[in-house]
Amino acid sequence: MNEKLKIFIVEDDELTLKSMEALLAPYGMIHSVRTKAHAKLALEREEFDIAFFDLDLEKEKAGFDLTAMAKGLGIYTVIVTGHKTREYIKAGYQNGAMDYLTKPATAKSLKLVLNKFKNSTQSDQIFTELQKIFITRDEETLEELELLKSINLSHKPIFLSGPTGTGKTQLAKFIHDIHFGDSRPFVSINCSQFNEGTLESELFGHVKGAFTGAHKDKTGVLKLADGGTLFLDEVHSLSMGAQKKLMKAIEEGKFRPVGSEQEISSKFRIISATCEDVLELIQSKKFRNDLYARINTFNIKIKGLVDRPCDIELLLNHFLNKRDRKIVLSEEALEVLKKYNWPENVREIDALVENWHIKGVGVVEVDDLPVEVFSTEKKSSNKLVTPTHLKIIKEIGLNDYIDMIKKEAVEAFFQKNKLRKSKTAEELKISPSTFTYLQKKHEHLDIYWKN
Amino acid sequence: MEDKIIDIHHQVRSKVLSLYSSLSAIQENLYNPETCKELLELMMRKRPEIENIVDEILELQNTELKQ
Repeated sequence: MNEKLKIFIVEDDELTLKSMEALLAPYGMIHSVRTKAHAKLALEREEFDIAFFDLDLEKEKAGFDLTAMAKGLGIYTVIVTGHKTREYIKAGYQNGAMDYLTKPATAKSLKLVLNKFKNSTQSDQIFTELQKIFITRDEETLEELELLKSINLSHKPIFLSGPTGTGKTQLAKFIHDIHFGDSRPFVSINCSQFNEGTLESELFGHVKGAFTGAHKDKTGVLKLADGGTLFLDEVHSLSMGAQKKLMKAIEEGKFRPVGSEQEISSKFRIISATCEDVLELIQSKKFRNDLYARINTFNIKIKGLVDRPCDIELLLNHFLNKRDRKIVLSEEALEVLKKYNWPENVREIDALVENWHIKGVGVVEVDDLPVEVFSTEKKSSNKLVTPTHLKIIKEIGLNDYIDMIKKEAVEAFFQKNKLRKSKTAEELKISPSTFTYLQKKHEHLDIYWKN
Repeated sequence: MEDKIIDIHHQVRSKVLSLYSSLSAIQENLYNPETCKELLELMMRKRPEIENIVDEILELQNTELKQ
């Protein structure tokens, strides 16, 4: 417990006050008063970490006012009173109390509160640290991240879901760091990077001669993570066979490396992540329901930038200021970037800023922006033709659709090149006359594009 | 009469709770004689207040008997 804790006690009964002082003295510096007026004065003049208020002072319920006042000053406030009716308890919390204790104040009850205070302070510090690495002002995302305060205190599995490039790996590493620090291993694997056979070997390891090319024993990531954290990125890519084996490994802490007769043991905290809809995969029998239930104790959903546009400028500034060499964005460039959908999310912003650094850009003008940022069409998959586009094709026909794609490409490059026709035509590898033709063609169909 | 009983009940409860806290504090400070002494002295000072409550209870009983 922090020895320098500044503790404030307001209690009008001298014996109770002296008793609380004696009980709380080992935890920090104590300042105590017996009247409402003195309490107000002390709150105005001194700084406290935690305050204990009696409710009845000088024949009135002054403790409620003091609680509200202390709460406003950011002090962790505890009510210690003889009243234990529902109305009093409710009013206590509504006025900002963090804890409500009924008298008698004993060593046990006060210790309980002080431990809770300590944990809440640690959780707040963790959240502050998290906000330094996970940049967001989006309220829903902040609420999701708040979950990490409780996660800190447990070894339970965590499931991170959200689009690619939103910082899930970074978040997993942060969770590991707050829990284990550097003392335990953090082992990460992207399940989508391996084919079925190789992935099993990567996860569980193999013994020499298990398959063609297995020239020596290999330790899998499940064993490497023993005592620490195993981060399974793109967990939806696991085959049903690997899922079954993983389920057993999580439940029993034991598994068999590929080609081995002997089981080996490993205990780890599991953090999984995916950009896919796992419930849909469960319905189509591609993901085991029991495994999902096992790895999904805490679920944190991270939204893509397209759903939290308020973070775009914030993140741009974060990455621009991260390096020693500074770069600034022109107003026009910023406006274009704010309208862009950032399909690759935070990773894309980081890469873009890195690219400007490599190119030695100082002030980023519209000219310095890559052509894709001029497109405002939402990207829903890796396919060129999205469901929206298919609808348009159905309505206007394939030829007109292709012409419209050409037209949109022309307009995007035209804007990027500050309305310079010849440069745009050159970049598009078309003649200036084709440029003019495409620009003017199908103006009557613009409505489809805009919608 | 009922108000008087409630008031006495409140006073008794308040004293008991206060004494209970001080017992817990003494228990935690057995190796700190100064604190123990101070707490015990304060406990002793409660005696007249407790005697007052006892008087009040007796008076109440007498009133009840007369009625």
